[in-house]
Amino acid sequence: MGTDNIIVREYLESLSESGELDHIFPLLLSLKGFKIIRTAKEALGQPQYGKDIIAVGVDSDGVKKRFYFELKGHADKDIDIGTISKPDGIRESLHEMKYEIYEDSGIPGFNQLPVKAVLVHNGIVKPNAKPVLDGLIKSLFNEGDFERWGVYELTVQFSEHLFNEYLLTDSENIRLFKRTLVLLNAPDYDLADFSALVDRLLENKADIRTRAFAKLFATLNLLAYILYHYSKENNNLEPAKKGLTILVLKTWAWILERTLENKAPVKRVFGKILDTQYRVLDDYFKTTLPVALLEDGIFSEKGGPYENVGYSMRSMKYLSYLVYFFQLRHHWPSGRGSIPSQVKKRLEKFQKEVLFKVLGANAGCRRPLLDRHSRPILMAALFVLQGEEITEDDKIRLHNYIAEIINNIILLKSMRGMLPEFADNEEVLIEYMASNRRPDEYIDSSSMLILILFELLAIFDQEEFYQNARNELAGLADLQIAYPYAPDEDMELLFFSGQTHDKMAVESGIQLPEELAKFQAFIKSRPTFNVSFRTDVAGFPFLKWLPVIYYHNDIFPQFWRPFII
Amino acid sequence: MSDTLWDTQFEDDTSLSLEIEAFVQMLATSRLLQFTLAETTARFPEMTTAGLILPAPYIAGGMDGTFDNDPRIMYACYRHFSPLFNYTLSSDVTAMHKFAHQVGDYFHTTSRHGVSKLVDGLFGFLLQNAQKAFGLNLTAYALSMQLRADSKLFYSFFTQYFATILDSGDSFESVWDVCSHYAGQEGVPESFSAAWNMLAKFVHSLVDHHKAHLPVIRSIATQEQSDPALKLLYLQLLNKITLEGAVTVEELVDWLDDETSRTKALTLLVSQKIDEAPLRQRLVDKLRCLPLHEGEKLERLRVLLNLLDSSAADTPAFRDQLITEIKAHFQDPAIVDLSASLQHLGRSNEATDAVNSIIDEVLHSQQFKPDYLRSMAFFFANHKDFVRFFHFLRSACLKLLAARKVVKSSESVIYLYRTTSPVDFEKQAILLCTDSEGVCRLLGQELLFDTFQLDQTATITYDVGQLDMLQQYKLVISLLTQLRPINHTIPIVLKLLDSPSPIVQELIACKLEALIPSYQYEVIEQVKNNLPDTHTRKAPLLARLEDTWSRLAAILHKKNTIKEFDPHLSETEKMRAYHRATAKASQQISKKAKKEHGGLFNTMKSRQVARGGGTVMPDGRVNPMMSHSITFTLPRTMFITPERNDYEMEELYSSNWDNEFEQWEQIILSSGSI
Repeated sequence: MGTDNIIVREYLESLSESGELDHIFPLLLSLKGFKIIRTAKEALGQPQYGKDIIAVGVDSDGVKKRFYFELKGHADKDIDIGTISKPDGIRESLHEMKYEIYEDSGIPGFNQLPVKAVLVHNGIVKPNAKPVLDGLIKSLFNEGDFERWGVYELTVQFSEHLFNEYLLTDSENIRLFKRTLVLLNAPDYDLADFSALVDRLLENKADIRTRAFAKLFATLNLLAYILYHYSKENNNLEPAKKGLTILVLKTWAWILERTLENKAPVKRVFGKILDTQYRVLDDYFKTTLPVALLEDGIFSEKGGPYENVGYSMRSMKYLSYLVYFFQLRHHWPSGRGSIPSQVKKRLEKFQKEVLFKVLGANAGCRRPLLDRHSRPILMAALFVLQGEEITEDDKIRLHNYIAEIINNIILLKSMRGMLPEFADNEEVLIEYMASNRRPDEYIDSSSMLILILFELLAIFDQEEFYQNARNELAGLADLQIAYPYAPDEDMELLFFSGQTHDKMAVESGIQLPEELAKFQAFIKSRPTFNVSFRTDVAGFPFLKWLPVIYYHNDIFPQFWRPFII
Repeated sequence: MSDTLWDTQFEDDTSLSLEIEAFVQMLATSRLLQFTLAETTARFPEMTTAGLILPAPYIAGGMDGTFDNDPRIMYACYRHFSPLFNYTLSSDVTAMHKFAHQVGDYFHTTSRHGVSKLVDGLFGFLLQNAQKAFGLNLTAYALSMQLRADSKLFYSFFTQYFATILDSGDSFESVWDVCSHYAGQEGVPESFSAAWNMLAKFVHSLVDHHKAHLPVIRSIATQEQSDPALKLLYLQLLNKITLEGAVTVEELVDWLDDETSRTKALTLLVSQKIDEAPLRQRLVDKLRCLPLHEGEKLERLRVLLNLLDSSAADTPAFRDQLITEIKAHFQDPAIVDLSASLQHLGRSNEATDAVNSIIDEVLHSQQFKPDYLRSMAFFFANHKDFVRFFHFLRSACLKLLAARKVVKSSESVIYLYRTTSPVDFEKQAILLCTDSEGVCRLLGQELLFDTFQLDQTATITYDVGQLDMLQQYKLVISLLTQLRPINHTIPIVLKLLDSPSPIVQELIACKLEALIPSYQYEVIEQVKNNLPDTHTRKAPLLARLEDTWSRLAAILHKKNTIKEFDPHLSETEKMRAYHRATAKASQQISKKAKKEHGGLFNTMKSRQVARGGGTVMPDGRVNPMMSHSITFTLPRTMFITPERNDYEMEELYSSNWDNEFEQWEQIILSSGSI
């Protein structure tokens, strides 16, 4: 076994959580040409009688058969006397495979197909258990009716059908893959190798009608799953969260570039990647939300004075992902693109509670230090505003949130003499905060954030607060706004492909009139520069927030200005 | 070597000479001018008996020794080092100066101690030799010296010249010519000048030496000079002969009428003792009417203050007249800068309300400048009156609204008060901590805690239990904030746990609980360490705090169990950048301090070493590396909302608490504690 296969074997062996093997095994079956009738996940909660996965496929003897796959992972991955004889152990499973027949009259000819039982486990058979297992198999199955796929067989199968096509045949891909795995848990690792690997894989010109296309997406998904798996193993889902962001973004840009976004097979395989992202984020927020909901839960005691900067930066990032996850949840996993309005309303109500609790508990979410922090703030505001229902209470809470941000900016100015850094230069921000001295490179003479906050205020029509905020902030910085401007180019594709700062036209020198009504009228008089998103049409509107999070792309005014009274 | 008279004087084979030769050899070998005293006196008994080996005066403990600049030792030095630096005795002053410095540099490479003394001694010895052996005329040579040509040589030479010339028999006039030459080269100093100080001292010695010729000296001293440096020099001479009685006070008072001699007269009058009442009255009357420029007004003030200092026997009316004149000086809008005037006022021995009121008036006048504070504090350095001093600090603080600036500008006087009577000082500082004005409360804390290091527990001598209930209540609220490290504030506040008022006791417990989210377990540690186990309230207080802490600890534990928010894992580069920037800022502050306090730092030579085990001394001993680090707890909450925290602290220490005081008084009254 070559070193590359060892990586695959070690990965397979390390699948320790219940359900992990269940998740990736169907990928293999699909690529081997099996037609899956039922997966373990679909049968969850029902008696499976020794059949986690049922599929139809052609056996090595060329005969089409119905396959019963019984998966043994987690604590049962290695077969010994104990795992054979314990209740619900291998002995019981093999008996059920043999005697509990699965029939489905809805599939023509299915009930007449010969049966093949396969015991799948990502471990080995202990020497002392081998005679017992062999005896058991012999007593139950005829020659050719049973197979056991242990970790070595699985390694061969996964290598041959999944990794070999794209990953393990290219030395550069292998290098990038190995580096990703080795550096995954290194502090501050930016997953550059993973990003490069995804780029290289997506360079393949796989026709969507071919198996190669399915294999490509299956490989991408498996890569994502490996990231998820090892991140989880290290009890830190940050790398997986970041890796999935990269993967989803790049894959969606690839799809948009080829205008494949409405093709059903493409949506299906892309959906599997989204499914993995959903699992990662679901796990991530299940782990972190109980802490984030504590008073200043996102603040880290380990950061010391660095938290002067770190707390706000971390909180804003967390807020972005939380909103993205909430949006994703509206479409995934149960809705697969859409959920009924009533269900969405109930879900949103719960999500808004969580969102406002996080905002209320964490001062870092209310203290922007960079101009780009306008985006998590906007994402949170838009999540509330674009909901199925916006209550008076929602409006009050959102207004209070915006008001507190404005107060904190005023405090920042009065106590430290600074406004949030305009050029999003983290380095100079850190230098300023650490030394209390303004570096030459620190820019706060202009601001988009402040104007956006005033525009959000305009939504709530609160004249008095507008006046107060205007008295404190007007004239401190040149207020600006950026509009998408890429004539003769596909703005949406650019938006998903990288940073679009150079594709944005800026309106500067914007004044805050004395009266709120005049400000509202001014905003409404501005050009819209609307961009239509194919992503929305394809049923993935939530994806628009990923380039905002990852590339720090601007949110277009077309999203919030319609809410201004 | 047999070319000089001095060879015959010192070159002999006595045991002392041989010892001196061996001694110089020892110095040259070790390259050190200081040595272990006991060892050396045992080794050189003759020199010890002759008083040539002395304890080094500036080394604590008297373990080290040094040597006298005796000509015999200098001669031995000359003998030892002249072949090394190829020097031969001659009348060439530049060459002998160079040789003396070469010998000094030989030792300087190892240690600075004693080098300048040796250089001066050797140069002086060689000059005397040149005078006696080669007929060098020091006075004639002095007149040829140019400061700009070689300032080192210039000062070295005149140091020797002024030390020895009076014994040479030169006339007053010829030496006075040298003094005039020296003053002309030096020019008028802008501030204190060691060179002028040396000259002034010499002028006194010169007059003393030629006292028999005072009339002649007076005729020289009263000559008008146009050059400012000479004016100053002649004024020094006039001052000396006035003190000797060659010019009378009556004459000086008469000189005031003449515009050309007025400045001179005022300056000379400053140092005169005037006893006769009519003359004192005449002088004050005259001073009132004189048209003076700003410099002269300052001299007039000094004269008036001297008269005030010696006014015990004067009539109250005369004293009032003096006070009125002095007040008028400080109200004079034509005087742009009152700093010097305030310094002179501060040196006055008079500490009456009237003089104090002058300072108060200046503090509240339009003319006041923050720079005056330092000068004003001089007054309080002289007069140990805590109440007045703290009244002044409070007034200054309210005027400037800057507690730290007030403390900084008065730090030497504060130090004086703090050290002479710590209990009174602490009491006044504590009372300021409970002031109704926020900035004064801040001033109180600055004064109270200024001397404690951050990692040091604050202990005070004053018994805070003497405060009344309301003051105790105010003190607890004032001290138990995030402004000060809790190892400073908690030990003081805990003394109030014995307060007869249960309201104060409860307040302490509540405030300590409120500090736990910021300082975490440190609060409990402070209570444990600063309350004796026998204290009846210790156990219940600790139980209450532990309960609060356990709730926070559970939250912190929960946070620590997840890695996703750990900046050490996903924000390490940013953390490093933050720490680099902090370190860079600290270095810049340190560099700036070095620049601003050049005098102190210039005497220190720093060396970079890349190992931390210790320093190997020339004698082979190892001094463990001096290391001192300060650890103290910063409030956790300080980094959660830094600006809001700063703002709240600013509010806390800038607000007036009169209304709060009324409410607290009602609380305490209703509890029956008053």
